[in-house]
Amino acid sequence: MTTSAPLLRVSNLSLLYRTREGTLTAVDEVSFTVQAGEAVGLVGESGAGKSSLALSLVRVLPGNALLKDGTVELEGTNVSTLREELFRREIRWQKMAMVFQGAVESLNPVVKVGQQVIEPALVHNGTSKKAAEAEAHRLFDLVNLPADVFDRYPHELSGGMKQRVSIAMSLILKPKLLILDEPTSALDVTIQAQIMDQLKELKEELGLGIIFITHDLALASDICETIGVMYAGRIAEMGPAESILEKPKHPYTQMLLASMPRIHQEDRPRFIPGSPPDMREPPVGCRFNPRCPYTFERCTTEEPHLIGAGPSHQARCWLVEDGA
Amino acid sequence: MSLLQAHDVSVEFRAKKGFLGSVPVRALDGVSISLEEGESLAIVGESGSGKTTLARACLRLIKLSGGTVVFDGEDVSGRSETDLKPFRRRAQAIFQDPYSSLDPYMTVGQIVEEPLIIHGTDVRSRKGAVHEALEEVRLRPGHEFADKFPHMLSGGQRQRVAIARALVLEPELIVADEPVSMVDASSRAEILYLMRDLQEKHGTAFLYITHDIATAYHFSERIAVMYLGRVVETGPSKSVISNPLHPYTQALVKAVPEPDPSNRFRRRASVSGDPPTPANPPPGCHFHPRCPYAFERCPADDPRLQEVRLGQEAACHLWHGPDHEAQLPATAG
Repeated sequence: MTTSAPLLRVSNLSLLYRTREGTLTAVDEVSFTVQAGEAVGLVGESGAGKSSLALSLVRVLPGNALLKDGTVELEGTNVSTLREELFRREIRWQKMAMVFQGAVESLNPVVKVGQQVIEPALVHNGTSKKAAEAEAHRLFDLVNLPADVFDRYPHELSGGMKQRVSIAMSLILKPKLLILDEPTSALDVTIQAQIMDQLKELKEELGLGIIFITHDLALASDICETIGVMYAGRIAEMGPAESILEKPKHPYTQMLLASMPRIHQEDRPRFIPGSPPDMREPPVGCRFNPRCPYTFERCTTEEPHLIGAGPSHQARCWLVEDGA
Repeated sequence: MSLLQAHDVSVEFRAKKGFLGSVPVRALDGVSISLEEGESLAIVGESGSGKTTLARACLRLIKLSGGTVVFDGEDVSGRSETDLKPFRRRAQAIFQDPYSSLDPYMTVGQIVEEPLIIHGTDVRSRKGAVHEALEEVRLRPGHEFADKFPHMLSGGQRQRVAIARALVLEPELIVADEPVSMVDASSRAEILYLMRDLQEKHGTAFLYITHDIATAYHFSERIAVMYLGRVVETGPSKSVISNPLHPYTQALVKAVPEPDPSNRFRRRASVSGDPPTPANPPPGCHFHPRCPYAFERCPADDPRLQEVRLGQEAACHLWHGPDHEAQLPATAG
């Protein structure tokens, strides 16, 4: 392992789903890296492939999914070829943990939350119950949960508290990479802001690498240094948060930003006509071409690759090469 | 005269407690709102605020425990279901989930036609009305969409079917409960523009129920902010957003995330704690345990809604004391 290797390097990852109506490619040749202490946002609408991508990183995929291609390297070590048994023992929870979408409602209703939080520690590396409980109490303190929550049941907790519990649970084995899938989408905005502040603190304090999955560019801007915008299984544009939010190059990113209602400006939000494509038959050429106002001939015949659009900034759009 | 006037409306539910017991939960606690013809009013609140209960009370889908709902001069609060039929025709609803609110075994055409059958429109004019409604919500060509089933449509298209179904009876009021929260972000504005067009073209009044103060700001003329069963602030959308009076509204406005790369260098949370449960609301002002400006009077005394600026009312003691000028909370802008 070299010291210069990033915390996570995903190269050319592709994921297929076999369905009754045929095979569809949910994630298509996605590559990106996450450095220690860096948060990378993956932003997209439903069906963009962002959750499938996350699930394939921690290898908890439904039975009809097939990882077709690509490698996942953790601190320079290729973990994509590890046997499941080894991956479960040494990687999942230990090195990379995930807070799943809807985690707030997936706690076991008949087990005290403290027991649920320490369970991965007991199962994974046979930590003594006492040591695991001590670690859980430390984490509860870290995520601002009162100590007495340890002995309560999920139904006694508010949504925000349950989300803090699932975050504490994901950290119990001290992973270096945390994957968060829509961690605040079920919460009210005032609680959402509290949880986001909490995540920022954890990231700084623990030096966590984070993959933050959301449909909301505003939330991504709350924590991410790097943002990747996904469309129809592909990364459409990726770069530093500043470039993506202030100088977006891909028409999809531009239109997604313009569709967000803002209260500090008068401009009404706009919308993107049409809907994301059926992934069983994605459009020929650029996948966004049927909804794009700038489509020209080349867009409908040839799919653009990721083209350099600035420092560490790439966009999958022919207009970028044309100097737009 | 207002088209819709809810006066001092209260709604109580019984919530299960223990094995056989139950406790009353006051979901709405003396709420008054009014809506003029052709106007749009947004009811903004977080979960547990009572906004959906208010929508259902205004549509008389539930019984009121107290207060009155007056529609076009007629009190509909105590009416039986049979007597409500003419009201039902004039006041329609759009619900949150376009995946469960449309019957999967009916075609789009049948779904939109059903209200016409229920209200006894004659067969000959029905087809035309359905076609017109579909075209109006931009499901074009209408005859093609009429033959489709809901599963063949996207979330945004389904929600437009729901709007067409509400529209086909040419109602004077449409109550839309979170109509875009399950629609993809890039298509939300499309639905909201559509509602706005209908409002302008047909003079339909809209009661827009949402948790999203930003869309309320852009698509409604007035906003009423609810917290734990009560309206805490109401006024023209612009004033409520740029000069919120109630500390809760201020917190809500501040908590709305906007895409800004400098967000990650600051803390955004504006209030601490969770909203209390409606089963056991705090005494006095319901917001006082989370309010940064709370003082002795707040837990002791229920604040009433009072006009503070032209057309803008707040239920907060900070604005009603004889010397309120001295202790004004800072407002944005």
